[in-house]
Amino acid sequence: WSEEETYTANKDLSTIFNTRYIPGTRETWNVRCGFAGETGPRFIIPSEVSYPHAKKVVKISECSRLTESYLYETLVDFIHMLYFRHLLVNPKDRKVVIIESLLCPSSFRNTLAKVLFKHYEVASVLFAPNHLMALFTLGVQTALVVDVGYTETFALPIYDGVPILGAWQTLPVAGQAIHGSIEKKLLENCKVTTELAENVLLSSLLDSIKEDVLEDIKVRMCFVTKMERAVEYQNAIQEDGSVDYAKLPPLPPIVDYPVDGNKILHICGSIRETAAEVLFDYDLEQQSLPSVILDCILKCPIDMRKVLSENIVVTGGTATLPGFTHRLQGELLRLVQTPKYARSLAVRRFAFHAAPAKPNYTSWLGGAIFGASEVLASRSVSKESYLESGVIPDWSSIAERVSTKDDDRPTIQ
Amino acid sequence: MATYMNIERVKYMCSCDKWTAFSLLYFCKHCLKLRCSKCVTHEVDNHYCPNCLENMPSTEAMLKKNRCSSCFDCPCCQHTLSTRATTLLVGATSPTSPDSSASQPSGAAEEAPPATPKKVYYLACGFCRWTSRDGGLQDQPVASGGWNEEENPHNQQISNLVEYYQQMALVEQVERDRKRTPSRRRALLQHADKYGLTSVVARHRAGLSPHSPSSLKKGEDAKLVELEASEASDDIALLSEDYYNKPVNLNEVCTIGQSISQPELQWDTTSKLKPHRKTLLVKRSKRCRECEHNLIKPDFSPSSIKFKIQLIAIYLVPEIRVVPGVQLHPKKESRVILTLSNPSQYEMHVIVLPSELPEDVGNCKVVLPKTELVLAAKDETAEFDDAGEPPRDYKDDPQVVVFRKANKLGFVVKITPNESAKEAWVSFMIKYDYRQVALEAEAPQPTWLHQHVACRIG
Ligand SMILES: [Zn+2]
Ligand SMILES: [Zn+2]
Ligand SMILES: [Zn+2]
Ligand SMILES: [Zn+2]
Repeated sequence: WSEEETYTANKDLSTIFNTRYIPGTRETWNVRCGFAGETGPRFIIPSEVSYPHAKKVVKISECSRLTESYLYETLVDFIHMLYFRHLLVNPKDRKVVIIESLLCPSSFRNTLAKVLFKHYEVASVLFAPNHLMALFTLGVQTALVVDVGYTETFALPIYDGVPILGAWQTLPVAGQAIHGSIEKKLLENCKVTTELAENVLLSSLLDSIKEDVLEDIKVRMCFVTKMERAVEYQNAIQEDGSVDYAKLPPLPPIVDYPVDGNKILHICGSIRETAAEVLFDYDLEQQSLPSVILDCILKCPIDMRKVLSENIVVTGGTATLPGFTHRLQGELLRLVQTPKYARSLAVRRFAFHAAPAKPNYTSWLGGAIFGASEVLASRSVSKESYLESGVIPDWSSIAERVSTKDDDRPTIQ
Repeated sequence: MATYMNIERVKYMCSCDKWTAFSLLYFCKHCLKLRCSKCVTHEVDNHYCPNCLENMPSTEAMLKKNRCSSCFDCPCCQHTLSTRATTLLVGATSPTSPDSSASQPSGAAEEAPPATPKKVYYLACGFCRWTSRDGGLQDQPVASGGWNEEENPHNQQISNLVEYYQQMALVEQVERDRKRTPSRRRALLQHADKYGLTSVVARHRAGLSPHSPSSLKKGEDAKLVELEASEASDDIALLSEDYYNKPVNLNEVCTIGQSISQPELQWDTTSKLKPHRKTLLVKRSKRCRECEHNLIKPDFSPSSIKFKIQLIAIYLVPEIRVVPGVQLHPKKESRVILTLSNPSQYEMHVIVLPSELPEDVGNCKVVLPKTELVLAAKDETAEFDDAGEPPRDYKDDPQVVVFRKANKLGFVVKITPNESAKEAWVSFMIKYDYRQVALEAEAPQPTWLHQHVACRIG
């Protein structure tokens, strides 16, 4: 027994997972889970629980909109699956690090803490903000962390290890918006070949396309084009909104994509090339990914701006799209010279960090590096203090020095 | 019976007040209470590979990241790969290129008669036909153990980071302890010395940032990791022209599922896919949360489906089932037959009582039998012995007990379903005398237990 116990108390075995939970989404996000001190997550799994007896799959994002007890039950089942199907260790008396979005509502966090402490009797839990964790993969103290996730983009500057909470910016445009753009464009003009007919319009067969198909199309054939070509596409749009195909650059090849086992979509090169343009849509007064980054820098004290713009970290699955960083840099350089920013913002150089991880698990890796150090115990909420007080401190920041005023904290509208 | 196919039909109320399918419940002999999977503590008992059924000790499993050392999954479709043997001719033709066409099972055989045949192995998927050759892997001279796994290219950098932050944490801890207990300062300093950290602490106190290890003189702290902090770059590679003019072959591009199944590597093209070591599974034991006794303890051997301890409700608590095929009519009384079976080796007395729950799931008017039902003991040999002893006469009321068979009987309840309800549920309470299994010949003292049951009739 004793050997067993020291082993579970070993810091190397603390389990880390992230809850990219953001209110308002109906979708499943992916949960990464693994162990502290390791070089990558063991598994990336969807945040849903399947009940084969009842023949149903419950998404965590959906049940968190319902009652707390329903969310509690589903989280119990989900964490059971994490530990006994994937991590294969006992949760009891284990230290847990949860990497969460700053937008995660405290009700969700409290329910998760209750599940971990009361049901699984874990030793301690640390809720760590994903932006801050990303820095541990780089060994730097200052960076502008831009998380381009699924439903939204969230930029947060961190200076000398302290998040500048007054400057955070979000934008409801990220991976999901790209899916929406692909779907719209496919339904507009994509041709389909079926067993019965050739080259019929997709919109005559379907009203919508499944999310996983859209994601597959995005991951397997879309890319972020370079500035010059994006401008050519912009110029080809005529006043009535239609596209003048004569003005377009030579398009990338069409891809024949089989779907549902009986249809072949002929996905046009322009869809592949411009799907991600929603991120950079700067035409109107709207916010875009580059404008959010510049606004974020503008909100920081003047003496921090240069160093932040020269230390940008992009995390999140969308950042894995080919050409993404190059284009983002180009857009930033272009935008910073427009009248809106030219005078107020003096930065002219944008440099990016490359973390030793794929962008879709950068903050997980940061948590794994952080969780392997002795600091973990002093920053976590222990079982004893939880059972005594019954609450999780609202923002259990790992940066003790931060003096967070309540109104500084990101809140959920 | 119907309840075999549809376990949701009869539910028992667990001690945690949740209605649960009877076959999913445990019964703690020590607390004399039903337990569901949420009121037992699950524990990892032992790790095993679901393919080769080998056990792996838990320390070794942790080291091997819970993956079997001899079995592999297909990186394309996650099916189990099988090892194929083929003969390769060494010497005459092309001894150094076993990965090319030379290793085709038969092709090379005719061309080069003087060569010596050599057995080589590769992995192949029987489902999608992927082979380890597709992943650019050379055939191996041994049947198992020869396959090396690709490593995360950032391993060194990450372990540097881990070490660096561990040291920083130590520095911080030493600092804090020193502030807290000045009297223990000497001891702590020695402690810090052991880690070669005193000078870092000194610098930290002198106001120098502890986060810039480059400021430390070389040689002074030999044990300290020199961390090379990441440098941001503004020289970002332009997207290759291939994206604009090269056709995409979908078969060569990984799906998102294929790519994230190996999170650290996340291949983008299928030609880079490598076989994936099979994930282990665990056998779990289950403990009562209240008294911490084991309720389920599986047999150690992975191929065995037996249990060392198995306190499931079916073996200990009388079971109710619904005889199917009843036609119910709203507001009309119908006779429904329920069966009751005795799992114990002693005679059992059961009294059916109305439900006492404040919030009841039952939505029918129900008339329950008024008399006590006596169940014969379960005799495992009797099932194989048709002749057997003649059954004892229980002097049953034929209006209540409609049949008897070994340890089982069928009894009648009269049900008047509600008009509005979609499903007709009845709920009631059974009171039965539970006896611990004893080794002595005489029957142990009974304990009367209450149990709420709910059945869906239609
Ligand atoms: Zn229960
Ligand atoms: Zn195996
Ligand atoms: Zn396969
Ligand atoms: Zn018990």
